Amino acid sequence: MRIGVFVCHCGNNIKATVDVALLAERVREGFLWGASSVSPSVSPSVSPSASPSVTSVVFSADYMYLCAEGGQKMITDAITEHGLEGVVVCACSPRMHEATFRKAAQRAGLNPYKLEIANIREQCSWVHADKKAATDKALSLAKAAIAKVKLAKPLFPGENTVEKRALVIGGGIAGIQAALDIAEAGFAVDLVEKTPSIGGKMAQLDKTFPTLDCSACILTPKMVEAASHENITLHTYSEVEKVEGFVGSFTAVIRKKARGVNIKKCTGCGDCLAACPMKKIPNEFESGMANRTAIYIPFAQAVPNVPVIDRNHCAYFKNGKCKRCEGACQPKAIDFSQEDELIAERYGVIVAATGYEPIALDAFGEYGYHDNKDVITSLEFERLTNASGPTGGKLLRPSDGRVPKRVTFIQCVGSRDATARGKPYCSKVCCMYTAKHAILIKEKHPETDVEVFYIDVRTPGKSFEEFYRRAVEAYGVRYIKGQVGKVIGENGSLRIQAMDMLENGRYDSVTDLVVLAAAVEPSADTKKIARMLAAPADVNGFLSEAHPKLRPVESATAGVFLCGMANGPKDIPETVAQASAAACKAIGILMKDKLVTNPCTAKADEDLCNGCGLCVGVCPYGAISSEGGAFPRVVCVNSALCQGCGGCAAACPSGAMDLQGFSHRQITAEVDALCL
Amino acid sequence: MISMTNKCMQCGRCSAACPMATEMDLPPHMWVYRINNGGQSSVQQTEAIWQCLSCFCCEARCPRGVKPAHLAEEARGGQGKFTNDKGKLLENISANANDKIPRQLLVAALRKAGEPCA
Repeated sequence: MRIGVFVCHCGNNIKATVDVALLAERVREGFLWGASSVSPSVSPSVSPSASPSVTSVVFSADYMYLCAEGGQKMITDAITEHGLEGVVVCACSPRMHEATFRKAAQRAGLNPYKLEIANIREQCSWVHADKKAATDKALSLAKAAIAKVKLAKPLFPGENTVEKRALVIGGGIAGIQAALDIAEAGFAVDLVEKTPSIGGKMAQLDKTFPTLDCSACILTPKMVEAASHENITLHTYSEVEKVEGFVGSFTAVIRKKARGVNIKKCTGCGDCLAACPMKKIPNEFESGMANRTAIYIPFAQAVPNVPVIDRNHCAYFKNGKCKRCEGACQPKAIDFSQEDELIAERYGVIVAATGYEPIALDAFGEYGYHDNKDVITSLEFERLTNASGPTGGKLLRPSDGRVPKRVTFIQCVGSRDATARGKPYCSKVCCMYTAKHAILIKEKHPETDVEVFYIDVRTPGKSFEEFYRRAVEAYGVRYIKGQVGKVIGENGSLRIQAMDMLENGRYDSVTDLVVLAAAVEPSADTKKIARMLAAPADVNGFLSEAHPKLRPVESATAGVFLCGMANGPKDIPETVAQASAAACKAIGILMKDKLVTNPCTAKADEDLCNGCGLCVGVCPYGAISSEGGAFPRVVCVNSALCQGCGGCAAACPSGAMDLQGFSHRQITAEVDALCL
Repeated sequence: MISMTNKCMQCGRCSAACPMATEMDLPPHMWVYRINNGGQSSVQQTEAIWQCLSCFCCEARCPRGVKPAHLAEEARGGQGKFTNDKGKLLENISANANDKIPRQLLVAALRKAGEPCA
């Protein structure tokens, strides 16, 4: 077998630590793969004399940048001129340029899988200082790669078809935007939302920073557009139960929970709500600051504008008696017999936009959130200042309905907290929404004193710093660098015990309303969804991007895309940008009729397999089964599902399972080349 | 202990929680800051380390896992009244005690030594 070895300088990245010329010369020393004498000539050099039956390095050369056009040409030319049957490129990590070089090999007529990379940059030059030792190690790595390529078999990628339909999980602003963009490109989209209406957290907000435009005013047109778009199917009050398959061909099972109301007959008149006797149920949309009935529409602009029966609180479902809503409903839309419906649909791509929740404040007893009605969270404040909220937009204290004379904001409640009770990250949106809240108070009640306790004010965003300074300079909001140690309810007021870091002294004040900027965390179901999608999540539970800089909207699982807070704290403009980017990536797949599959998949040798089934349990992708094979109990691998992880090959006790492109023989040969 | 002080981000929650902060010449967040920059010796002359009640409220509130009360205790112990040259606790502490030794140091030393407080 005629092998060519190419050594890259990578500028000085490799050359400064590895003697590349010496390496190019020494790879031709053939003690392992048949003899060929070392010629002292400078590379590139050729030993055309090698016999065809003996594997030998017949060509080796070094080059400044192999990934550059000139470098690739050197490889293609050498393949043609010297009839190379295997190529080893000693360069950077295969994650960087394996695809580049394999394409070059293919252009020269060599099967791309007959090219191997020896990583002499990340795994050698970058991590060593001693040039001689590094050169020796680079030689070992090159020899291992040569040993591997010697046993490489030509592999041919397969194809699978793309289902031209997208699934978007989560109907907040992220999901709505992604769904709209995909639908606009002409593809069918199913938008699945757990709650009875789309809109998400953004629907609860009053104004949006830094422009102070009304959140509902900019969101509701999008909600209506999503609902009326011919390519979008809404599944509200629904949850994704199961996802199987792979990019281009996912199958999802969606549970459409029983609303108890026929969505086609209902006119959204609201007569049923008035008839419902259960009126004291905490309203989730109002963050528990108002009550709702058991049959309810979550908020005025809900999409769809159809009520849902909360079976946990409905008198009929609890006691078997009532049905007053049914009597009040003229179009006869109420249907107590409705049951959950399971639908299964196929999708080419999935967008996860599962959103966030503020953290529970049980561990922060010192702020007295559970003890004082006038200690509220920022999301509750949004409702308190919202014209559609429980007070009609009037700033009134929850305890006694008075206008507060002083409002105290506390930042970083649970954010930047490395202990067990908080979150180590910055929640990113709190600094800005607190400045917004402060301005909103001052606009309505200039006489109300507003103080903000902060650790640092972080405003890296377009017009953000100006907005924050406006709160201070134009509205007279007092920012105090320091934190609050305790909030004590006292004679209808709240006493604050705090530290003013710039005064280096204790700052105690009496206030009427305390607003806590609680940290954000991924919504409760994110973990479940992540597991279903086999999409990795980080230590904080946020869905991980495939690469933090270069693949920011893709999950590591092909065909799964991320956007919004599910991926990490971010504000509305960032969320919308990411949603559009995720949609764009999704459209990129949906546009294709067929996808090329990676041929480096597992393959079972039916003669060796004893049918023990160990591999079936090991496989994280459900790619292995005993169906479809030549023999009843012998396993076979669905190459479309297999991701080439190699778990089965390691687990197989009889050695029947092998990973193509990384076969047992190849790995053993590599190890031998390194150790012998 | 000193390596722990660089976790501090100077939020001031410790001092805001401290029942003695208003009496101190150097509130907890400041002694954390000073130890981080100047080491334990830089706080040994302060009154604050003797005013600390070891109530550990600062440590309960700290979002970064810094332990101001422990640092104060270490600074008190570092004064060597009940320790030998190697920093090891002396035996028979009560016998070495007298009126001039701050009560807190004495109680802490007795606690550590496991001797009954008289």
